[in-house]
Amino acid sequence: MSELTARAPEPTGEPLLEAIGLRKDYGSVLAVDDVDLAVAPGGSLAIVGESGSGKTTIARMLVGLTRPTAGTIRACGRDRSIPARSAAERRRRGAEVQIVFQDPYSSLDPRHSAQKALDEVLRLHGRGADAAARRARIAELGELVGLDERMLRALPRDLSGGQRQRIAIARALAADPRLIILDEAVAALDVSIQAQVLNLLADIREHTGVSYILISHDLAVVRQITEEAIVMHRGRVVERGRTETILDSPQDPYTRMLRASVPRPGWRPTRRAVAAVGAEPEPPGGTP
Amino acid sequence: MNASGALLEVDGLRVELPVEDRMATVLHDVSLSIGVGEAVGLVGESGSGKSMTARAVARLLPPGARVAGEIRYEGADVGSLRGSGLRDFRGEVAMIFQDPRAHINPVRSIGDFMTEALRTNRGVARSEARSRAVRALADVGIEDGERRLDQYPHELSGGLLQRVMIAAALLTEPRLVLADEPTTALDVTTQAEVMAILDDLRRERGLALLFITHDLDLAGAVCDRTCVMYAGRIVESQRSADLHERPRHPYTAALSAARPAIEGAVHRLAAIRGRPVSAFEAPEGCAFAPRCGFAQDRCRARTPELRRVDGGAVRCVRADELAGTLAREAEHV
Repeated sequence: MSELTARAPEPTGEPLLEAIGLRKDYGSVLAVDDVDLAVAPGGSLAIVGESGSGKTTIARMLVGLTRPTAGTIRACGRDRSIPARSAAERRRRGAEVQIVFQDPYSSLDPRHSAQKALDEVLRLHGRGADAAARRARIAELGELVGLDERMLRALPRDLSGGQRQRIAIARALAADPRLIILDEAVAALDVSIQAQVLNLLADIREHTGVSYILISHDLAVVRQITEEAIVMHRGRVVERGRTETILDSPQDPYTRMLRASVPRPGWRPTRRAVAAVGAEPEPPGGTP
Repeated sequence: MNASGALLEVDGLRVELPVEDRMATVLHDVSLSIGVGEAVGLVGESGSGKSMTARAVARLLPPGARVAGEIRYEGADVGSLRGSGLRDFRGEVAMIFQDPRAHINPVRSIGDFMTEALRTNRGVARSEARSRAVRALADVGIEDGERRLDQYPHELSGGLLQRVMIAAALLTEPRLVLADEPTTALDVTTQAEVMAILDDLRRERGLALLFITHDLDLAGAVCDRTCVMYAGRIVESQRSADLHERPRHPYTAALSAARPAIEGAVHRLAAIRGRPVSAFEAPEGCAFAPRCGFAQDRCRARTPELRRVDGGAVRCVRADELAGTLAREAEHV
């Protein structure tokens, strides 16, 4: 774990990642409207929202998959608002910020074992001097995410959803990033597996000092692994602050409605919960 | 109506499916009953058999499935229904699925989809069928029904489309609705709305509901009783209110404890080791034993029977001695 354990959180001051005035238009549709956010080194920020809130568009802009219409993004002290011009610059950005998607079925190459997928990332980012060093590093990464030798050699189709998501996390860690964006990364997992992966994510942050941005609609998951949160509604930030403060005493009407919609013992679903904010028709084609 | 007063009775249901070259058992000895107007939850993780149970009841099992045991609707054996008997049954027992887009023809209008059964099976005239469809849409909170009938599935959001599916299911005036994770693909605020609609309809029309979900709290909120499934078997059934406070089976307690809480973070979640298994992967003895913190040798020796206990049933040989421990653990969740 040499590379992973060596890094202590930096002195406070400059955020690890900062976005200011972020905006994305798709034709006449404003998907993201003037969003500011920042993550401290070693910190964990939640972007909370439902379908159509713009949270996934933000994630895509932060990793460089989508170009912002306006606004600036700085990570690790360098601007990344415009697309990388060279392969070297793309690689450097990739080594700083990694992303884990919701669906481990479609984000892994079905023909590559975990071992092969990890080896490729290590080679691309020049981690590990030779094949032997890379093998040792792959074993380390496997241990960190709880995958044994056999699972590392297996193809994705022979592994469960939880095991595949561990591979996706190990692959993100292989580049030794400063920040991992978790885009609904535990949403598709069974409850008992979700708990394992959430504990794993907490352990990894403790051991490596990596920062997280968690994109999620699940307020309980948000509470478990983030300290700060922003709540998005229709492309705008409607509330921001400490995660526990937002969930214990939500101020914005939308946040309050979101909080009230979560099933819990003694909860009764009400139609009013939705009507309170406005019964305008939903946008077409929305999938959560 | 039959002697027990139940609308639906499932007794000793066993289902085998062809998997590669052999038959694999996916359900073992599933028994449950639903009274008129009663809501019963079926909760479990992947492979638990909860969806397969609903599909068996609806006679929608994949080709080649082998079924043993009995499913009775109003006392009649569902497995032997043919022709008009089967058509009537399909009118009285409606099914709602998790992904509405996978169960609607994308190139036909909402109106065609909603009125087809009425026009072809019941001989209702087109204009009458349309006005019934508009009323059904209003029942699920869609006011501009006339316009919606002329739209196509891709023009509607997931939440709206699921409401259309519920409205369509109601058109034949069913007495039992089998809802298979109807809100899992929806946003949480839309989920609350759809659940409220189902709950209202149940109260207003005396609909019975078999509600399938992975979410114990959601089942608890809308169901009178909840059955918890693991590896193709029911391991516990109880009044939903009691299930949360006094779980009888270690799996139920573990499932509650594993879920993070919106009220506060914990240092470490009480994860359940290993992964959920399907019936055909399960070891000898209690299928949960390899993941259970309370397992002993006798748990692994033979499969526990589902025993009646006060107000419910549990499939655990240690249920009596663990009752206090599990209830205390539940308090801390």
